[in-house]
Amino acid sequence: MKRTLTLHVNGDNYDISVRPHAVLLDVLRDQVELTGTNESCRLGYCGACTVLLDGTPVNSCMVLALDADGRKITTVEGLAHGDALHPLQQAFVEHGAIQCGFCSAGMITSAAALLEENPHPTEAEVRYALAGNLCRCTGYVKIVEAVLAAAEQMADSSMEAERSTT
Amino acid sequence: MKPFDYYAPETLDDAVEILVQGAGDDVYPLAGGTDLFLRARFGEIAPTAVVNLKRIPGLAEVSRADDGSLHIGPLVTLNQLIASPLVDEHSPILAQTAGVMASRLIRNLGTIGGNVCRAAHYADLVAPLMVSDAGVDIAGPGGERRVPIAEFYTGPRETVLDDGELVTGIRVPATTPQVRSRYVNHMHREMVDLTIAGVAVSIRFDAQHRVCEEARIALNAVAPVQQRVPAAEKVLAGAPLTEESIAEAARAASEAIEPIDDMHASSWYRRKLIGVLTRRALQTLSSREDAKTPM
Repeated sequence: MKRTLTLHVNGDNYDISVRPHAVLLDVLRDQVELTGTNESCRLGYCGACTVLLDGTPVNSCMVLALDADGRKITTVEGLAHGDALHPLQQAFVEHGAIQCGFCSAGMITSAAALLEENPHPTEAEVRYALAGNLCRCTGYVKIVEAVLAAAEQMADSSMEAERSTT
Repeated sequence: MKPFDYYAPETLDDAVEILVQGAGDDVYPLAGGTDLFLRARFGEIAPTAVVNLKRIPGLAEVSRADDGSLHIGPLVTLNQLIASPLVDEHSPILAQTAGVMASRLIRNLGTIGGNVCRAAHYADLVAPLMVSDAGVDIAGPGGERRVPIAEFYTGPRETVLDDGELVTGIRVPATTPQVRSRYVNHMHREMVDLTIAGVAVSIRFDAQHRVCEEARIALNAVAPVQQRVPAAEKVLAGAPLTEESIAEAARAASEAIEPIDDMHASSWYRRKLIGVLTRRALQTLSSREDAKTPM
């Protein structure tokens, strides 16, 4: 029997009904129709389906949709501001951190959570935080470079913002 | 994953009631889900219903009891263990161990209760809990009880939990600055892998931090159930921790066991690993380096 729930995704509310065993990943893609979040291993290994649940990065293939009822969900679609890419997305483009692109959504969402928690990570901290996001093209060097560059860029712009307000 | 029904009780009593009624019908309690859904997808289990415990208040908290012991709720996630100042102060070995487990994404879902109740022979938190002399708080239709972690497992993937019983917390006894502990493990990959051998050590030193008054050593992933190794512990008790005593204890640990042999590692390799890992773990305690420094 289907159950109804409310998902708060990227600032919007969605009242939907799901079967109890439906996982968040499928509901986001098929019912909320946000297909930026990718399905790959479906086993919690690869991180292609990473979303933020109340700001915390998780594998959405491992979370029941019912368990996300009423919680704040951020997908990769929620990172950009209108047409302006998130600094991480911009850095991935500029540093060639995207090859086939399949891991990028999860990788960027995971990195966004890292930079929120730790705005100035070391390379080792980036690698540790992204260990659950696999890149089948093995483009890790450029991915790590892009995350470090985005961190720097975000720090610069927040300093500029501070300067312009004072 | 086959369809199943879903319950989200708001009290422990309701959860126990649902589990008692569902006994024998493949009704599973749901904590982090990272193992439950994995096994369901592999077809190892076919839940007819899951009982989500996350709506029950208080199960995801870390607190200190009046007697100084640390109480860790079963739904405390692995990343909560790492971030908790209370765990850091009271039982840093648990935070250190959680830090080598799974990935950041899975650590945000997976719980201490799940790791303990799953009763996997490679569950990383079990050996550290054994050397910490932890207890498992259980509630069920017959009331509440507490079982030492060393008596919680009755066989491979078997625990003392009866139908309808749930783990309501992990209790770690009060500790002193003289006690230092460390977990060292080996995986084929550095991260996001399963442990093929692990060693947890805990030493109670004298006031000068020289003589080992009591040693506890427990092994992970080398037998169907995690186990202490009294033969190696005896080598260390009552003497200063030296390179010689460490080498002897490491030898005793690797000789005391008959390691399992599986697709991940041979028995021979696991025995070698236990010797090396026991030595490494003890060396981190003999030097005065901060026990929390990652390896």
